Amino acid sequence: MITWSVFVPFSAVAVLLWLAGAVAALRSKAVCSRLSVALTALGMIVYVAFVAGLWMSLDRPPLRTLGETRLWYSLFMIASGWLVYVRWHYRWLPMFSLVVATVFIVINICRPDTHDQSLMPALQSAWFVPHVTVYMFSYSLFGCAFMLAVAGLWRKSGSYLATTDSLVKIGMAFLTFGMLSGCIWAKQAWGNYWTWDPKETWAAATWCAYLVYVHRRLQGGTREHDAVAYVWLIVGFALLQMCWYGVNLLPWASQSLHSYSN
Amino acid sequence: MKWLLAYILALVALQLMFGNINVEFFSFPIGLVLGVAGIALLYVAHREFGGGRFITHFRSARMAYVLLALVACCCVAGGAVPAFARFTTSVPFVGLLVALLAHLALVMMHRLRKFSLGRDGAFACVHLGIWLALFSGMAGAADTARLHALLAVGEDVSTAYDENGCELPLRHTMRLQRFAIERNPANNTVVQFRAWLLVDDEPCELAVNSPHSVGLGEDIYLMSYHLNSSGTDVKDCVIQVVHEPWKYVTLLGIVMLLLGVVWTVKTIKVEGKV
Repeated sequence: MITWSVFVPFSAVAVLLWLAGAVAALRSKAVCSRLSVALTALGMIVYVAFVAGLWMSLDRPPLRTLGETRLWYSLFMIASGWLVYVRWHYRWLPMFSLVVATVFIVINICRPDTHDQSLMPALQSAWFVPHVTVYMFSYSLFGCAFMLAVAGLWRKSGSYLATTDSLVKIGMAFLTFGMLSGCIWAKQAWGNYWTWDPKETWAAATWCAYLVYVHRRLQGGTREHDAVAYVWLIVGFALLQMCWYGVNLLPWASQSLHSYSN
Repeated sequence: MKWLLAYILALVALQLMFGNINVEFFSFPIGLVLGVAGIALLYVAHREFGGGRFITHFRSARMAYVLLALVACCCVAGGAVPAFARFTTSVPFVGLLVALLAHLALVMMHRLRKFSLGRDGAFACVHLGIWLALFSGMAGAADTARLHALLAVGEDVSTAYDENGCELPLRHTMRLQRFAIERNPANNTVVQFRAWLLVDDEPCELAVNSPHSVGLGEDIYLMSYHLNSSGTDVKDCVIQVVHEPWKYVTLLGIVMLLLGVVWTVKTIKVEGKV
């Protein structure tokens, strides 16, 4: 039975495979590119096997605690970095995605949350899995956009904007779905579509920030180097981190309806 | 943008003079009348002055991102600073949302004046969906009532309490027939609890995430329960009756926005270097 006690060996194997894939991606040869894709995919299979095994052993989706959401974010971060590399061939991106994913894996090892089996009544809903997983996937896309924005600002180049535009549009679709599925679920569970709960307030700020980027790009679409657009991607990424786990650090957020995951 | 700055300063001045908005003022039909009147005025402005500098500027993408940025700033302030926790009924925030609604209306009037489903369908769904959800949330805030009642087994209850503790009559009489708690056998934690009620002598079952609709826009929710002093049995349960007449308008807005998002994704052209 797969439990958190075997997370270290599973994640170590996955990270080593991803590292090999990221190193291969740095080379420009086509054979290295195929090798990179294969090694990354293999690492993802190992990691997904752990997640699936944990799901079966817990007899519930591993999405309740902060540690469990970090598990998914690490996986989606690698997947998103891989997709961006395959589509746009930024050879350095898999390495940076790996760094981010590894940070969250190490946090999980160093600060494991309570990983008990039970799922409280409020989380017994068909919306639970789509709401959280879609949010985590959107966060991973925005994570890639964040890295490209930092690169764009560092190099003072607008060449990343076309990619970030696509990533943000797709990410916004998933983020909006996650938010709206949360609204419908909240109405079912608590009687309100939206309560301006601390988590929801930061979610609204994140959503607005990325909408600002989309409309900024609509307004200034021909600009070669739009530093303000890059800054908004960084602001948006900071806000989503705040929404995801930063809000839990605020003392007045302890009464949040979303505090069931703590 | 000078007029926007003047507008914001005026909102801040109103906030300092009068404090937060009394939401009750916008109870039906005032909220609806103001909304319809606002749309009518905007339509006239669009028809008569649509080509003018002010209207063109107000419906621009730049105005969109400025308004959204300001709303995001309000959310950050409200989320980060306890003193601003009641920002959602503050004059500046409500004023910004009103400006956003007006902006969305003008954008749609302009873009959809020659409507083509293939070209404008996704745009219409997204923007109209946001508009409906936002307007119904604002106008409906005053018309929404949430009442809580304690139900003990076998007792008829026809009153409940609002957020201020005032006792109010319910439209229906409720009686709790039976209550059950489901526990995880591994660690005895509660995974679900259910209540079987008679609502005006009609049986219904409530559970968390499984409310019961008793009419248009009215739902009953099972919120929690209390154990007796020995902790062996359920003494009573807490139910919440939510009367939200704008419920289906908000839901329509949400569904339209979801549809629009899916439609938009299908039409995204993934660009960038290959």
